[in-house]
Amino acid sequence: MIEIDSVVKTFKGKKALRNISLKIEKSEICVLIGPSGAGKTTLLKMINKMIIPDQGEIRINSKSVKEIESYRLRRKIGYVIQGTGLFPHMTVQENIKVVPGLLNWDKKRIEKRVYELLELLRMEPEVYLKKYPVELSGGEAQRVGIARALAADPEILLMDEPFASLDPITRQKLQSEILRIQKVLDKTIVFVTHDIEEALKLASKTALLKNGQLISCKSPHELLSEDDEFISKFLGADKWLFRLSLLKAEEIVRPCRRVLCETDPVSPGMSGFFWVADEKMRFMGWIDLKDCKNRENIKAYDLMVKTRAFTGIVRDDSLKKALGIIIETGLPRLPVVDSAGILTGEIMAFDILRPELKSGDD
Amino acid sequence: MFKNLKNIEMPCFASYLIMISGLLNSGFCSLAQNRIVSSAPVSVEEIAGKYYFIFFIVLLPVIFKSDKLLNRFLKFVIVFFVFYTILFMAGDFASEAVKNNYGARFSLSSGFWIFSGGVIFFYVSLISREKKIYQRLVFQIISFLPFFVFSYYGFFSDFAVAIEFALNSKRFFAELKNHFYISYGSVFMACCLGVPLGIYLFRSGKNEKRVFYILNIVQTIPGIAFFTIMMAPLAFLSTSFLFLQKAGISGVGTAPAVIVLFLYSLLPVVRNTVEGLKVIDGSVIESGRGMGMKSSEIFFKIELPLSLPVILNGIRVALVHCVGSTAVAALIGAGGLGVFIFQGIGQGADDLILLGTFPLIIMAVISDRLMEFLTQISKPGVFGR
Ligand SMILES: Nc1ncnc2c1ncn2[C@@H]1O[C@H](COP(=O)(O)OP(=O)(O)OP(=O)(O)O)[C@@H](O)[C@H]1O
Ligand SMILES: [Mg+2]
Repeated sequence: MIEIDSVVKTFKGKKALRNISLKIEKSEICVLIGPSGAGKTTLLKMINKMIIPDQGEIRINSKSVKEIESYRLRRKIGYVIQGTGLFPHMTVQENIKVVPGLLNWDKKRIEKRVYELLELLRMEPEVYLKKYPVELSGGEAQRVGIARALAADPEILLMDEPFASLDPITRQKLQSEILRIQKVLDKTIVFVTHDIEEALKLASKTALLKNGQLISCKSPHELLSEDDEFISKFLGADKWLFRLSLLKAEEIVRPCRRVLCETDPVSPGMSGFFWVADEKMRFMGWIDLKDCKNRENIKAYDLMVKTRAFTGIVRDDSLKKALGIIIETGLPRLPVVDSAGILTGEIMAFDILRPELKSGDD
Repeated sequence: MFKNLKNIEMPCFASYLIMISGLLNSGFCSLAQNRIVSSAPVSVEEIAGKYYFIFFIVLLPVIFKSDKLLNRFLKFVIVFFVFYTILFMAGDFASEAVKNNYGARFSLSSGFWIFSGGVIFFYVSLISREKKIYQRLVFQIISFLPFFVFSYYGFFSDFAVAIEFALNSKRFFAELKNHFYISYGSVFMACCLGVPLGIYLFRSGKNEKRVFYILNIVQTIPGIAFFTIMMAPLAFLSTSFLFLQKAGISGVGTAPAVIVLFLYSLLPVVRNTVEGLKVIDGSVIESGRGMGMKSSEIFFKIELPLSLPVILNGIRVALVHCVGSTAVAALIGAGGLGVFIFQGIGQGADDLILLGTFPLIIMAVISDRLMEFLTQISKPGVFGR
């Protein structure tokens, strides 16, 4: 647990932090977000005493950090920064070994730990151990950066815009890794970012900073339903899209009304929109029956619009993704499938736009 | 054979032409009946007989492309085989001349130097293609080992240079050692002061401009002038303070030379230390701090290793410069290989000059290569292992 208790910091007359108090519970991912110069980095660096507050104090597990020698404190807190800060003259292995080495772990234990960590971050140890940072891609380097921060199994992980310089796909992958690692290892993470989407994806708590002040400190859901002017301005019109990105398909899923098996005959009287599935109810495609001429002896399979690229969405997908697919495919509704591709329901385009979703009382 | 120009390797072709023109030069070597009289040119034909043009044919395959290692190896063997054969024959010719007339002086002259220029050009353009250090080593051995073997067994001992060497051998080794001590010693001292000074300048962020201003001025003083400037104050000091005199410090000799060379070396060492520290990415230091390294740990585990290649490069520059400048220091009585050069100039004895310059060049090249090697191995993450 990290308690930030009314800290104030002034740099050469410029107020970087004005009386900020914030409590970060154990196992929480607290994301600090706000415009450039808001004081996010300053606040983060106070936790491991890279910056000392002018007033106020910071307590970790109820113990003031003032009482802990800074190098001891830092060895117990993982620290990841933008651009990795990997030591270029050390191999991946040596980089990861640094903190356990400083803590005088015995050799075998360090060795084992390096393997564990690389595996945790899904990097094959044999391939990467001996590589130098220049030989890594940005994403790989950042994985090593995370592994290095986790090396001595710290309770707390501080991350300052760690993914800012990565491409969107790599960034999303690493965000998922963070979520997974957090679930597995149960760390307390304080994460700084500019990217609101990143914040909403990761955060269990978002702390919005502006001009050195804490504007709000809420769950991502609450943040988005906030009516504060600054928040609306900060999020922009995208606020609604962000809200959709937090909502899951399962929240508006309905049972499928009209499904045809691919072998079913299509009779002349039928019209309207149908999903087509195989005998095992696996999603195959759809039919939009408009006019009813010449439908003798025709099976659903023959009329079906087949898609390879689009195989339905799962219950866990965000409504933002669903909306994207609706726009892309032009379908008025989307099939919801399970992991085996079996049709379990559908969502309607107008449900996504339903006003009650907007207001946040779900 | 010449149908396809693409099969010809241009640098090798050029070096072939240079070698040939050297061999065709009528003044390949020269022979004087004694040290004083002027010498007469000796051509390759006189040394190797009338079939000497066979060498042209033997050398010809060298001009073709050689993508395979084996072919390059053969090219090296051919070139250095011809080179040493001719040198060997010249040695024979010299022995013959000396046998007839003990005072005779047989020297290598322009034609030979052009020829060796071609050989060196060939060597340099091919050796740089060998990326693996062991392959390089093999090629280097093929090229240089025969020289040492031949000289050891006295095949070249009747060349005028060798005669001068034999006459001066005791002095030669003493001066060689002297040269080494003066140049390496000065640079060593410059490192002892320069590296900490550089670290201080970087850390404090103050005085940097002022120090570089002074060092730059020092650097621009011409060598000869600097050596002579040093003489007056040192002479004064040594007469004023007896303990300095007792320590062997005076206006002439080693002391002023070492001081000057030390001051010269300071700039590259200090500058590269500061630069080496400056170019380290701030995020690297920051993450070191954030991981809980103490400042001494940051210095020894991050800053020093990361700036080491740059610092070593500064030392390399200083060292090569010093090895060269030490030759000039002979003028103020510091000794070193310059002694032979200036004596040779004084006596008009070219071979004595060569006796000074040869080892000087070799020492400079070895120093350069050595430091280059150290620089390379000091930066693992940057150029791979
Ligand atoms: N070492 C320092 N010296 C002087 N001023 C500083 C220092 N560090 C930060 N500041 C100032 O404090 C304010 C907050 O800086 P901080 O780095 O915390 O912002 P940030 O929210 O992390 O911004 P960004 O998103 O751009 O990284 C800024 O106005 C900055 O200029
Ligand atoms: Mg910042």
